[in-house]
Amino acid sequence: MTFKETMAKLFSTAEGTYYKWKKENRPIINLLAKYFTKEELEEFLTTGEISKQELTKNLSVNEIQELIKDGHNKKILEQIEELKKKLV
Amino acid sequence: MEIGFKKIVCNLLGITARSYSNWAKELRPIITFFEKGYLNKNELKEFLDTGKIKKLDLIKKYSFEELQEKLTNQQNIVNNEELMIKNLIFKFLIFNKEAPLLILRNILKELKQTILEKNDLIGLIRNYQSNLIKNLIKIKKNTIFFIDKLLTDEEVKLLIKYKNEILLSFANIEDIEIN
Repeated sequence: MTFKETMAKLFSTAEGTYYKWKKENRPIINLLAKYFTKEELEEFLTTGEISKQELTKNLSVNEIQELIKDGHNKKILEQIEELKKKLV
Repeated sequence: MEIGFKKIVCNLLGITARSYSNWAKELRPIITFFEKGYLNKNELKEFLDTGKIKKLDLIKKYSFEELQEKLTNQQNIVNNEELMIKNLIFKFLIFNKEAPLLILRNILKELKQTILEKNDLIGLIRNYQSNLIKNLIKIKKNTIFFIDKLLTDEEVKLLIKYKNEILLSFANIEDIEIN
């Protein structure tokens, strides 16, 4: 499926409508283009879900922020293991 | 669904409320997409106002697999006492002073309580007496420093709870004789 085909299917409109809306600068076009890949939208059309979005669906911005903090803790723990080997 | 949400979706799509209802009846995927709940009213409004959605900006650069790994790893770290114990052992290793740790081990060995606050443990160290240890006051100061300044309240609780496992990591201090 091409991108315009995917979009047309998502809106259940003709492909031309997608271009028309794009020209009209309708916010939905920018929203989808900015945050969703063609593959994710196709996944939605096929399965009714976007697995990546399912991961964060019930999480707030703060919770996500907390959870995706750089692998800082993990790295520290790896360093601890290394240090332990040297010290013991 | 509350009207506010529907109105915002209409604004995003550039359609009327009537069209929205028709599209919903026709089960057009884009309407199902919004009703799925991936984005709430405030987030959609945020996009209309600013052209951005902070929640989506946060996850944008990650693939599904990367995001899943990050969320799982981090949740494990937050919830995993085992990893907290490793952190605690690390502090023991860094502190690395045998005599003050020996006092701590002796106190913990005798300790009957399974739950103890940091200040209570410090109190026990202060009152600890031994004829075998030279410079006891100075050494006790070091033990108190370790507990008070280097361990968090949570780590003290963990130390009490898992004292046997943690002290086992320092089997080498078992054999130390201090004259």
